[in-house]
Amino acid sequence: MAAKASTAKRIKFPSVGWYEEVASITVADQQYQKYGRLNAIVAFKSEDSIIQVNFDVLNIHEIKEIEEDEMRDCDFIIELEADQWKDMLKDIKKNNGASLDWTLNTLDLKYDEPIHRNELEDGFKADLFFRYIPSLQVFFDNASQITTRF
Amino acid sequence: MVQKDSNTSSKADYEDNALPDLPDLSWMDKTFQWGTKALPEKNGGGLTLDALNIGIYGDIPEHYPYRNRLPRGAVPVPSAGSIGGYYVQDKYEQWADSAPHLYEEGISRRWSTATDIPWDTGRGLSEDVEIAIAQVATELSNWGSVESEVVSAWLQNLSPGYHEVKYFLSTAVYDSARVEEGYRKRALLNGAGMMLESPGRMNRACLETYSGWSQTVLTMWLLRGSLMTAIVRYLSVYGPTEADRELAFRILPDIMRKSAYACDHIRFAISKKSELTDVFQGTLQLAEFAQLSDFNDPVLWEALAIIFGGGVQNMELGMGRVLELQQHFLSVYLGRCKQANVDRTAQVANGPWGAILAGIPITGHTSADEMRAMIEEMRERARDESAR
Repeated sequence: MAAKASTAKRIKFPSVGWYEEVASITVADQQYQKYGRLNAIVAFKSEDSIIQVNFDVLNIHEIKEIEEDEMRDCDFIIELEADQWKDMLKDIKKNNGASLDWTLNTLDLKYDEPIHRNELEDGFKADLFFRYIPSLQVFFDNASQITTRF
Repeated sequence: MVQKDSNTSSKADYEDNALPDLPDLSWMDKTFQWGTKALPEKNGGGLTLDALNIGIYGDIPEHYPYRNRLPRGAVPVPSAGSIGGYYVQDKYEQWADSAPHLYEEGISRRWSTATDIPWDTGRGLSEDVEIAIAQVATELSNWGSVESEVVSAWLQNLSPGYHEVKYFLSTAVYDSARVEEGYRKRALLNGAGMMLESPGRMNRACLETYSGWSQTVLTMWLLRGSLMTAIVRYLSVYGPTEADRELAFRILPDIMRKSAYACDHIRFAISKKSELTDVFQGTLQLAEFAQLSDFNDPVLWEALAIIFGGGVQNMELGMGRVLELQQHFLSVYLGRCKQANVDRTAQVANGPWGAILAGIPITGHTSADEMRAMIEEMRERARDESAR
């Protein structure tokens, strides 16, 4: 895969702006479109920061910060410690996409606890993580195209 | 419908020229609801099945009495008769609310093993690992073949009144065929070729569950599907080449759609007929025996241990990962059972599967008596430790 030019602007992670920037790259990504439709409201949690993103068919929108008790309204949550997010995003930047050790799939299997869950233990919703995991990986791989500051 | 012969017309124009009778177009008002207009989804979703379920077309009956091809919402004609098929006529026997969405998702997320897998990265393995992955590929291909045949066979029995389910199952046939052909390609990639077929007890359980479609779903997608999920997940992370990991990674979402339908359908069936809980528990118990029997065939586990260990010389190491995989399988299976409202936690923990939970893999290398002795020894050790 040819390296894509990254934006010069440094965007703080985690923040609504960071997710909006990656979303705008991803909706135009042909690989993302090829992977097909998805329907999931996902919360990304890094310690106190919880950002909700609506993956709505082929659009990605309604990105906003939410409170802990609003996670129950999300289909699933992906939670990593701040250092783990940082290491994952550094790996993505370095390799122009996650290397094997840092894909969402690997992290979910290798850690003692899965990185994804549904807050109300709804297995049907939690399993959306696996139904859409190729698309979610494209989303995070596109973080290689921006300059992230932590 | 017989139309009148235009030669017998008695109508004429103003110059007295004979005019033909207009054809009988009375069929044109034969609709139960005129003016139903389905709207496409926003955000690129297009016109979906869910969007069609409006007005009378969204009324999904509990029972569909027609034993012919009458599409739901169409006007029946007596001459169509009954072809005597489609005997699964009740909603609780097949329905899942998620079926229309899963169909659209399956179609939208379609892919090809021919062009979406980087096959050229699947080379350069040592001979033992290549043979091992070919063995695993042969068994997975075999399972995919069984699945596609089982679903195909049931499709002709399911009533067309629940077309959303039939559409989704058509994608499931395709998805299962993709498992079959994808892993066949993998086996034949580097010369190892097709190896030993599966022991076959679980295949037969899937093929020969004649008691109902729901029971087939339990056997094939709750139980065997959980094992396939676990193997595919482990291959997607610990597969020996990028091609192996990508093939497994792309198959995973396809398996999860079938699991979603299965859990949703079983839950729905129980919500309609609570007495089915006992029936389904019995079905799963029988299926678990068949699955356990296959577990005692060492071939698959040895092949996986060689893959995970990186060769025959590291099989012991690989067996550790096989145990993890088996524990993951039980975790996925029990999760799905809970999701489907047929909890099996106690039965699994207290039956033969308990060995895996206690840390002893079931691989056919240890007899049942030896395994019991090992578990007893472990329990004794735990008791001693807690007494100290």
